[in-house]
Amino acid sequence: MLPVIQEQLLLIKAMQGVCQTLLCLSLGYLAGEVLLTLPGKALFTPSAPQPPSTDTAQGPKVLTGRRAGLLIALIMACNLLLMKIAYRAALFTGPFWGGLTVLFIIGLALILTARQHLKGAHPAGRLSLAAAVIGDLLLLSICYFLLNAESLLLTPEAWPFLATRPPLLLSWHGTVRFAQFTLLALMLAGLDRRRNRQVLIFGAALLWPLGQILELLLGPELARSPWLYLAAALALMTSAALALMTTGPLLQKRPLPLTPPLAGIIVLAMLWVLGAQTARENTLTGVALAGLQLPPVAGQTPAIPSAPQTAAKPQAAPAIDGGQLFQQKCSVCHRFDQRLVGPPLNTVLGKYRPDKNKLAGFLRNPQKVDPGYPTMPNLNLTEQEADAVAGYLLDRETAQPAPR
Amino acid sequence: MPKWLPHILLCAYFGGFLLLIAVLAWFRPAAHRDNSQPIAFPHTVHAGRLGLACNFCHESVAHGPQAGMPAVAKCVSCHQAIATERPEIQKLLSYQKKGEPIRWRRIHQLPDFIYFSHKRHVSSGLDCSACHGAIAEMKEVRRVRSLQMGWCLSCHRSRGASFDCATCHK
Amino acid sequence: MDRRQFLQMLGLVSGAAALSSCGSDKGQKELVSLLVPTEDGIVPGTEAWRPSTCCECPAHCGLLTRIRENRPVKLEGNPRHPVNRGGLCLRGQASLWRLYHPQRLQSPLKRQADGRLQTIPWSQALAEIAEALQHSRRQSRQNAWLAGRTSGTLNALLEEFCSSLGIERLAEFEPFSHAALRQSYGLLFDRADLPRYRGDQADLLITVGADLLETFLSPVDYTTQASALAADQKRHWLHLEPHYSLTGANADDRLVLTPGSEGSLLLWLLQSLASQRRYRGRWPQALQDLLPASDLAATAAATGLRSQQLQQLASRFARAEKPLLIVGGVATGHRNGQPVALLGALLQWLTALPWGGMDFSAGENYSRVGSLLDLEELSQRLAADRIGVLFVSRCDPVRHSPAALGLQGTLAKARLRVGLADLADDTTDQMDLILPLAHGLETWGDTEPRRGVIGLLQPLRTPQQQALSEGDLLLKLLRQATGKSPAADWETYLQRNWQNRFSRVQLGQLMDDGYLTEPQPQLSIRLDLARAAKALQGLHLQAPLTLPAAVIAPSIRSFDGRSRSLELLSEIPDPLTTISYGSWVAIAPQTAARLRLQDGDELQMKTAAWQSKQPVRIQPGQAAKVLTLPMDSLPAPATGIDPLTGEALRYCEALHLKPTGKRHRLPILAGSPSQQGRGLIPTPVHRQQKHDQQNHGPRASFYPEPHYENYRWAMAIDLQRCIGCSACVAACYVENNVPVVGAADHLAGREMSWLRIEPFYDEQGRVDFLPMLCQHCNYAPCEAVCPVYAAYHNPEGLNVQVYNRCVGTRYCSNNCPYKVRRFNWWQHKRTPPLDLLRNPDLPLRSKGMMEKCTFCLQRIRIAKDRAKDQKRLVQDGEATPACAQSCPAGAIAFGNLLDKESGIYRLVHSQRAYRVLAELGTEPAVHYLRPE
Repeated sequence: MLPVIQEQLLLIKAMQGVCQTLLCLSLGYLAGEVLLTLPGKALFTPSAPQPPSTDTAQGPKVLTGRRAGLLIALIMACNLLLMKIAYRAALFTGPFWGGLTVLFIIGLALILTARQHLKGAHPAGRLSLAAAVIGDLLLLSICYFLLNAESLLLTPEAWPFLATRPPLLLSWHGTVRFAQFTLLALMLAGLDRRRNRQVLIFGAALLWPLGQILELLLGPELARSPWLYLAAALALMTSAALALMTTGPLLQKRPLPLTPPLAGIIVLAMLWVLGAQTARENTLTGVALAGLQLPPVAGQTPAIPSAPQTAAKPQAAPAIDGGQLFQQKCSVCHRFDQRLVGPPLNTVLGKYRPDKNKLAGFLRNPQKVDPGYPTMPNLNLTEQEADAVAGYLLDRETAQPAPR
Repeated sequence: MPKWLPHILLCAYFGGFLLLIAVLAWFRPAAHRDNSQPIAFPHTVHAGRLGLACNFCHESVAHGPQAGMPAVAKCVSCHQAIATERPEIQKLLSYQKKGEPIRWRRIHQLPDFIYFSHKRHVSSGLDCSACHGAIAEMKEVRRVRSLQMGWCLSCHRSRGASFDCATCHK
Repeated sequence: MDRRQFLQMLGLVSGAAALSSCGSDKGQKELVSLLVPTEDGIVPGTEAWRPSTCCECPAHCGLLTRIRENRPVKLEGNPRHPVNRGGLCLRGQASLWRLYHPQRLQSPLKRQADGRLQTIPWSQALAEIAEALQHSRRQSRQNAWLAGRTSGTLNALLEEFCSSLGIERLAEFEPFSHAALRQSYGLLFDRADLPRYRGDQADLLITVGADLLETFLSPVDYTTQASALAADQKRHWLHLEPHYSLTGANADDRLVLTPGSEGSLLLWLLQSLASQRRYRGRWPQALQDLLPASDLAATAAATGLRSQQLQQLASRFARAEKPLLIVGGVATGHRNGQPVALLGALLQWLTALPWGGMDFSAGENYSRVGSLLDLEELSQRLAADRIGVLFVSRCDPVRHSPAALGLQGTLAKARLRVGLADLADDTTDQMDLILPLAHGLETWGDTEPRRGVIGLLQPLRTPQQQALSEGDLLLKLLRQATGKSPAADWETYLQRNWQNRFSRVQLGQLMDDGYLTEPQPQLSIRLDLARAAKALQGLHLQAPLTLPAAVIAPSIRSFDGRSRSLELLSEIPDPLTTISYGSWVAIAPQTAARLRLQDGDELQMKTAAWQSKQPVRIQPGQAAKVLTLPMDSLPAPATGIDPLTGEALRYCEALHLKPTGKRHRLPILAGSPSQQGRGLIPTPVHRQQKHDQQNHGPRASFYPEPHYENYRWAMAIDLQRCIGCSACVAACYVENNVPVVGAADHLAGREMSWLRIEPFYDEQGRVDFLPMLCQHCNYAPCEAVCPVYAAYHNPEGLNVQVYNRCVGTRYCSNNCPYKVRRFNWWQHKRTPPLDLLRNPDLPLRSKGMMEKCTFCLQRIRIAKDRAKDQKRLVQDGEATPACAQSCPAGAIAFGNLLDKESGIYRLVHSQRAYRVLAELGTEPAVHYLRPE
């Protein structure tokens, strides 16, 4: 169903990283902004005089309107799709993801609409306040959920049990990641030069290392590669730079310049996303994904002797090529005319000549015959395969005269 | 208050955390630092290309608690004839000549206080890969599951296996 | 987040433990491959059982050895072996400590001029011996070989060795030589031999001095017999002794007599029995005439018994269908030893032989064992400088010969003294060359402890040191001295010998079962009247010992002292006094009161020739003027030789007792000698009052009722059978890796034993033993108070301690009414190679963890695993804890209470069953069966 793009996997992962960073920044900004605006708006009664309306006009022009909303939704969808392509994690069903996307769009729409109203000069109505609250909560909980799902990607060993134990979805690691996301959101909201909110950036930067350490420790042990530590260290340094950057303006109460902190926050978000990707690279390997399908649980009553199991075989099985099987499984140890691990086949096949079934039986369940050789391993041939190999062997042996 | 004091304090604060990360990196679980073995045994060849069953070498996996490492004699029984010129096989043969056991690096290790029986798990129909991953595709065996109690318990719970502490805790 | 991560984080936040917690699995282990595939049927990580024979004492019980990771980790009695039938005493359990003893002799040692020992290679040792042998032959000195009891093929090889090298094979030396008994049987029946006494068939057993439960001939065998007898209401067991022994404590009746007066008692008994109609016909008049005169009053005066008691004894004896009298132990270790043995043998001939109470055909193999008289002769020859090379193998004559013999001095006269031993002892200290011997579990071999019973020894562990088996050593020495030897090595020699002696079927049986029985011809024992008359003529009964006297008593923990060096046996307290480490003298409460002594006060005991100072332990039930000195307490446990029999004298008489005023701290592990009225062991069933059992009303609990689906493990301990021998304790120590902590911790009350035997004395000094272990309560008080759920009730009724959860609050121990939980105050580490003696089925508990009895969870697990393979439940008798398995008396039963067919169900619902401190409502799973 999904395109198999093995060669471009790196590119896809990079694109996914970019998408996620963008998404994180935009959602973080929206959520943080609205979260901070809300208390102020809600406290003012509609009749009360409005604070100077100049700020609305000079507020950042980005991320307003339907076009921005559409863009965010698109990035979100892109991100999910890329994630699915890159990691092929069949964690939940399609309707589940669909429902999530719909909820996300609703939340986004609510928040954007409310935001327009809140930004507007008119006093905020109860409706728009409620929409903002609901939208914000919806978005945040979806973020929480998604970040937990992302953490779950790191522990594929838990996937098979998710169906029976849904709480497995939530993890401490995901919670810490969500906390880091809120820190990023607060930093973005702190960028507002008008309101002197640089204390937000400073505080979030101070808290960042704590989250970083917790994330490292709570993440799966198998994910901890040197690169992960490096990413963590870089993120830590970025947060240090952010904190240092904001100290001066904070102490002298002068406005913060926009670009350097913004760049810092963007770098931090990128490193945050990159860290998660590095961790995934360590745990989400093909070898780890094997064996996740558990066999069905046997009935609780063990006493009933089950009917002899018949191997499920396709009806129109293609004829098994004994020669090919021989090359595949036997030729490592066996030649017809020379000793390798096992005896030269020409010397031993003679006694099976009258009875092909006896040879097939031996192939399915090898016994020690000659003490001079190691016991032949059981290669787990099916009945048909053993039959085919036995046929091939006896044919081949007759074809060439046995050297004495 | 001198002007540089807040900066110094901040640097110390972040530096401390940076140091912590460095320490964590230095002392990170040994299991992931090095998976190399005394003999570079390729499971990709034996279990992968040749398709040998796991219990061909790990003989007691279905009979006892330990899967069992193959005896040197067992390796040599095949390798006295196969690929004897390769350096890794030479190593193997020298082990045999010296009469010395091979000290493989342990990749999957449960704590001392845990009782784990391969037999019980294999006989309940679990595939080796459920806990060991696709060994046949690993050039160098690595651990792919956390082997932590929570993971054990999710499986035990979902498959209706025993939930008694004493089942696993010795 | 799990607890481990939580602690990790806590450590990080506090900054202190960051390094230790993160690097926790730095000590990554290796997976070591085998060299060659395992034998058929051996699965790595599972146990294998191999038969063998215990060589800790001369009884040679049959063993099943549990092998894990290529080394023996547990010894158990072989259930089918004719000697011990599944039981194994505490010394046998502990003999693995000898195998892994850190002080095992590693290589041949040579004493330098300055007395220090130097390691030399075997070749040098053998060459020196060969040269010395030749040298002394040239100087016409005799070379001699002194060994402990030797049997089986080694006996044959030794014979061959000695004859081809011209070495004189001296009579073998055993501290418990039973020389008086053998002498009297030789005199009367012309069989200087020790029969097997059939206490299992007797309806009246009278033991005079013979400590059946401790050291007498074959302790496990007799323990099984005696405890069955004591448990049977219709049969009776009476013990007569001057001091207080474990055997006396367990007899149905115990009569205390004056030391040295056993002869008078037996004489009177013989006379009164011979006059009975039943025995009159059998008793020859000729002998009757020779018997010294005896009357009731004089006997009562001599023995210190009341005449009523004597009459009762005699009439009981006369009435009994199958009476059996066994004489031995301390009863023959004094100057009246010969009359005691002789009169005892006559009584046995009169009463026990007719019904087959003594089986000489299955006699104990003591024919080559000599007595102290032989040692005396050796000492004289040494003094006369007639001995060239003296070999001393597997025995400690220096410690066990009385000082009067002067062996220590005369030994120096031998030109070369060669000691063969596995651990250093008093004798090896006198040797020029010390050759290390391999342990019985490291070599091939066979033993013949009893006529017709052949036990197998097989190597179950490669010797880590250079130790050699005695057979190999002899063959090497033979080759060194003569240039040729009968076989390349001991194994070949043994195999050839076996093939000559046994059929293929027999040999297969020996290999599979670990023992072989050969039918023995029935011997008809006849009393040689002429010799008996001669012996009786010479019979001279001397006066009993002058009181106060001390009895030097053999010890259940160290036999004759040979097991002293096994630390585990010092860790397990003496059953009667509950003292673990150190030496002591047991005195009666009256004497203690008179001398104003308390436990631990030092008492000086002095005679003209002998003195000793020992801390005092007050022993209820002890006779007033008799002191009990455990053999281990004395540097030389024999005070003299009985010139008539060659037995060691084990008494000191006419003692001057004087408190020195010094005080020792004795590690006494019992809390109290009395039950303090708590009814821990209720009155026997037949004496039970109507209102004995109190009703405590309905139970109320906040906790859910436990519900058991398939199993409810439970234990029943029959107090009537329990003899307090502590074999279960030793088994528990070895099975469960229980740390051995030493005297200092015992003094601090920090003993670690999961299972303890509590002796409780009544006013008459009678003792009852209560084995106390975790009771696995239904409503366990420990579980409710654990803050981290480390104490947990599992769905099979076990009270499980999850070690890695435990954080060491010790709340559980404080809340346990039975005081069975043990706290690890230290990280207990064993000295290598003793660390190899570790059951891999259990983790080692680290410092700060609480531990306790688990009902041998690992054994239940193995049984369940087996049952699960066969898709069924565990059947009765499949899961047995180590304590129940080892019990020679069969006092402990274990099983699934939900199985209504099981033995445990029957026992738990019997009339005798009760639970200790039942009024607390904890509903333990351990049920005790009170005496009937």
